[in-house]
Amino acid sequence: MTATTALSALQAALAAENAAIFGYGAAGAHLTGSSLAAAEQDWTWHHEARDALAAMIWRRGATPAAAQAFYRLPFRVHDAASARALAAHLEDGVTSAYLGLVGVSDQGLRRFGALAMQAAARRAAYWRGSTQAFPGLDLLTGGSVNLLAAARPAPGRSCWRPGRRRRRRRSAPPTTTRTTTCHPYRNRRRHSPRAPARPG
Amino acid sequence: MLLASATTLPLLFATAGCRSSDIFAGPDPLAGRPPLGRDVLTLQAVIASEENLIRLYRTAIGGDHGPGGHRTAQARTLGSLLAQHERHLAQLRARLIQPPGTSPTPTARLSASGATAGPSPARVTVARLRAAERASAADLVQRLATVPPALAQLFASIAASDATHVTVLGG
Repeated sequence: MTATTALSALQAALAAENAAIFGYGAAGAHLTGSSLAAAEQDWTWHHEARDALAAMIWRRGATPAAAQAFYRLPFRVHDAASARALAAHLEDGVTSAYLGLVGVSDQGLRRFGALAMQAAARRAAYWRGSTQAFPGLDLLTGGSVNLLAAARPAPGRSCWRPGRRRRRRRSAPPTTTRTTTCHPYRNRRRHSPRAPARPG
Repeated sequence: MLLASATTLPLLFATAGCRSSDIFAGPDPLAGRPPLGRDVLTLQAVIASEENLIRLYRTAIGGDHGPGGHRTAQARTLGSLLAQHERHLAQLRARLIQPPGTSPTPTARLSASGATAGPSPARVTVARLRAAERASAADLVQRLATVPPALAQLFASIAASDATHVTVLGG
């Protein structure tokens, strides 16, 4: 596999992380207690992973693709159950994206991707409440690896922040990976300061 | 005449101090079966490891019955993890193409009933399963460097599944 393909795999992983950051913002608005704490922890993890991937792309002389301003959620998120389902969906997509890194020839990237897959698969199992035989591969064989589709902003979304003027992107985004996201701290119904009580 | 030529040709080569590879280009048909490639050996080792995990799970489930012989909740959980390992094994075996007459795996051989020929532990604890899962995930990641991309992706996916099993088992 060529260096270009390794770069595209890194960009795909970065795109998945950006989508996950957005998605956790939407999910966090409907979670409370230990679930909210877990979402916050995972949201932080995805931010760190995004920064790590962006740095790897910079080191290869390329520009990290910027996050979309908005993403279309795969289904309506209106309560804790659908928020947990969304989190599992996000982690499945991230797992699948890192699987692409395992397919490149660079041994360091393969290992990095494999370890990131394990972390994402554990988070997916937590949110889903069950494990999968082939994390990442299930999605590929299912024919869809899209995490969240980019979308125009829609008012009424739980992650929508009022008071900010809506802008349409006219051209390619600037050379930054700063993400427009919904933060799980925002729009939440209740906050529990307790540490997330979950394994792993 | 043709048959006589085919049987006497190697003899003629031997007496003349020639090997068949001196005459024919490509693999030597008289040198026996070629050695297995590194990918095949790696896949065989991973299959053997997966078989060992399955053996451990079967032993653990077999020794975990509640009152009246009913399966406990833990046994049901282990059963679902075992089913995923059996799917791993099926996928791994599907990737292994060997000439007929060779052993599927060099280190662990399953009988038709699925039991191993070697000694099996009398009792397997959840802690032991957890350690085996963790070791399996680490081993698969170690092997990623030397296999083709498609096999590396399968190994990584199985390793991720094993990592989730560690969590289910309390790790």
